[in-house]
Amino acid sequence: MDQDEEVLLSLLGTDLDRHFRQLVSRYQQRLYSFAIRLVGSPQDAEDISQETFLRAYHALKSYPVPRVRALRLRQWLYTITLNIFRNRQRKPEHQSIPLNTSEGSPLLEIEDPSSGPEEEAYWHEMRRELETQLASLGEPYRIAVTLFYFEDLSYSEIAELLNQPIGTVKAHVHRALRQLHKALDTQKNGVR
Amino acid sequence: MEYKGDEQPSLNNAGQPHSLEQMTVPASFLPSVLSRLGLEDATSVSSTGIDTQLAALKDEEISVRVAAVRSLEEHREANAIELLLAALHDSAWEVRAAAVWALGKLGEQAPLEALMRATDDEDGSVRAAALRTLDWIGDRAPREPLIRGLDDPNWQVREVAVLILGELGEHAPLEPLLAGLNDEHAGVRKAARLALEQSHPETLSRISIDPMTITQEPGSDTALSVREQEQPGTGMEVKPSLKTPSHGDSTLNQFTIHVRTLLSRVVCDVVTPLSDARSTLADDGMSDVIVGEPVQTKPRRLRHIAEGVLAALIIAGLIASWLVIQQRLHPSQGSASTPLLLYHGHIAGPAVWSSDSKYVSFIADSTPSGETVLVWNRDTGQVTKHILHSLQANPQQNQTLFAPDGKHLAFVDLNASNKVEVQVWDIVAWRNILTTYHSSPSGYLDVLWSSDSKRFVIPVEDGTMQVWNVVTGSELAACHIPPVDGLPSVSYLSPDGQRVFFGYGPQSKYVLDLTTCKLLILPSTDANWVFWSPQGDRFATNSVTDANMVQVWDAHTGRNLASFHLSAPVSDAEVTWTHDGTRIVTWGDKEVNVLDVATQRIVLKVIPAKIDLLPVWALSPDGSRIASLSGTDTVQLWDSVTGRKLNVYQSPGESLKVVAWSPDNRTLATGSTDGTVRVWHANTAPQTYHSGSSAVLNIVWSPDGKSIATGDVDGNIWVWKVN
Repeated sequence: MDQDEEVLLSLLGTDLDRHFRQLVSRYQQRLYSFAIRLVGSPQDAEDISQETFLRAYHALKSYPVPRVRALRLRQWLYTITLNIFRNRQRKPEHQSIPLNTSEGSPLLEIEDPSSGPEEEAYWHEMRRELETQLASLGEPYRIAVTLFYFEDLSYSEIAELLNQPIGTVKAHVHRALRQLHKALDTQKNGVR
Repeated sequence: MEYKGDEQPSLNNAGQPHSLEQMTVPASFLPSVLSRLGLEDATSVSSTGIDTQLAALKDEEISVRVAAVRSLEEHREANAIELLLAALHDSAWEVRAAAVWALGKLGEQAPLEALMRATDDEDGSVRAAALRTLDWIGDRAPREPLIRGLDDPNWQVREVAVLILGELGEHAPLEPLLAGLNDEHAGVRKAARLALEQSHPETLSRISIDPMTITQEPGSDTALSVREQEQPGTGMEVKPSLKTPSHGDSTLNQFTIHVRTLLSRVVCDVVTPLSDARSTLADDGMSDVIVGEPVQTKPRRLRHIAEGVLAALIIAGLIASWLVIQQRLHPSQGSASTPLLLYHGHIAGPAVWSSDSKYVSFIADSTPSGETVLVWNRDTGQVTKHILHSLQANPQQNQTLFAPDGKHLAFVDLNASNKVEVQVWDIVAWRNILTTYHSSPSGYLDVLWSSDSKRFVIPVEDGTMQVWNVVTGSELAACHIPPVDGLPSVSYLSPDGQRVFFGYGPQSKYVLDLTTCKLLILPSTDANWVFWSPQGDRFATNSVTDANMVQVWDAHTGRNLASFHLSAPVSDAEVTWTHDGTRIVTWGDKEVNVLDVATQRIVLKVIPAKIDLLPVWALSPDGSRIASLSGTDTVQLWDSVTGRKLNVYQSPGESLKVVAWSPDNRTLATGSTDGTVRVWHANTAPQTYHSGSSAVLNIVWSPDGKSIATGDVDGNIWVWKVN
């Protein structure tokens, strides 16, 4: 747990109403981008991440201070986000859409100062293809790979968060990578 | 046509890609959240006038209604209770939750019945709030809703119920709290532990057990309900191994850099060797095998052709046949320019050598109907192709696991009867030698091969650990293991195949002796990955909660033999034992550490000279040498005992990606992004091979050290002779 988070938890434990704004400020981008990877639609992502904070507020209000201080905020917020996402998935009107993977996406145009142009071109191409394929993964795989790579959680943390055996998580990440590899490979060879 | 999974996200409605702005949280996000909670000044409702409050409670905007409830809570107007009771029937859960909190604040005056009813609200957050507010009321409130809350379908309600019960101190009922330790949700389990610490610390310490041995006869149904106590701080003090800057502040730049950096990690893993990964579907026409030179052809029979031409062709045919026979019996010995094998296909994962170095196997050209296994015979140069038929026409569900001897594989797939089928194949003879069937609600099973490939172990969801003999096709043992829903979360077989480490979470870690079915319960370890020593008598673990921690354990007693707290995080799956089992080598993004188990000392720390990209490390098979790449054109060799730098190899202008030690520990092979493979030996000039222009992904030495198989990013496999 980093020091900022420790301080924030302490503040939330003492005066939730006053300091809840800080929690939202700190995690809004992270949760929003996590949600958009889950559902694709910015509107749905905003709804899900907003509801996450609302649920979090009420939960924090019902926790005793020691429980608040012992929270691992990031994972806890992801758990709530996933709960909300899954509940919404049961409703047919919510559909997923892919991320921006267009050639012109500014996401893909940042120079990496640590590598040369050849290297850069190689990784650039790989990333562009990867973004495309990532959006097309099945839900369990997309969640696992997003949490593992984009949210930087360990297998154990993901297992705990998803309430799944770690073997299942590893399998999902592994199979997601396999599918990505397969898809990238297919694309490279122009098979489809 | 490309096969895709069955859960494809649709394209967006407009058919347009999202813009970067859409990836960034809208500026209105924070005010909106605060407003919906009634924490934003702008939405506060004037405290004056009950009519205003009433009107606000009927407003269309949820945020206005929430603000009205909060205003009633703060200013305690006359008739406030009635208005708050009405708000308990609001259509929006946020308003009902706010009303519950507001009513709870009234303490002794709080309407008990209304709050009791709110514990049955359709929304979990409202139910949890009601439980907490009943707690505020004190003795007047019955405990029944709390006990009911322990069985609530919503884990957050169960969590709150457990926490509140814990606050009752020594009067807290013990049973429900103990039951909470086994809740399906980690949040509830943690809350139960916290509650027990608070209310019944002595009970908690009693059920915290030391390492012990339980003997279980095969077939017995002993249920182990006791769980170990987590180490102090376990599960509470996670130190995530963030390798990238946080983007908590939502600035566009930081966010995009973060995404980009993480993508690099994904790319690295996608293009990194995956031991059992498979490649893409492709039509047969896309694959092409070239075995040395000349290309194998069959002479054609010539009929009804003029005598002169016939004679000439017969001669030509005889010559061609001779060349083919020569090729099959004496394939190209390989040179720096001629590969022994080039397979243009769609291969994923590195090639697998057989233990006698005669065969190379790989999976290629997957289709929805199955996987293709290709086996190349180094002696004859022939490639044979076999199909593993998918049992449900869904390749993403199955997995193929090569045995360590490279002559067997296990194909695991869910069949039409919803059973997981494990088919064991002899790769060389291409014979199905064993098929086993297992119930697995998750549709997934681990298959653990013993290092001699003579048996494999399957943890099954029915609570058994099954051991199968590949040679006889019989089941050797079925040891009962503690029954827990689902498969073990981790399972690692010792190299001698005698023991298996498995666990379900930080609380439950075991070592099972597969011969006697003796079960050793380990102290809580929070182990993330497990690394058996070559002798199988001890194992090392890295930690979930502390990325810098590596520990070593005795596999017979469960005793902690050593704990190392390193100065830099250890990467997952990056711990290697030296052959003699006395030292372990840990790898991370910043450094390599050599750790002596007996003395519990860090005997060597290696830091590469330059880190452009994440470094690549390789320990020689005997553990005596370390090679490090750091995304440059330089390989550094280190003595893992003395720490002395032994050599530096440079390939100017190249970007090296892969490094692999020969089995005799004396030669190193490197692969670069431009497809160049070099074999370095002592101080002589490297042997160079050009495998096209695609980046080299993996290099696998044959066990006899005479050949290397390389895979590239385009899914091609090359085999070269090494002089």
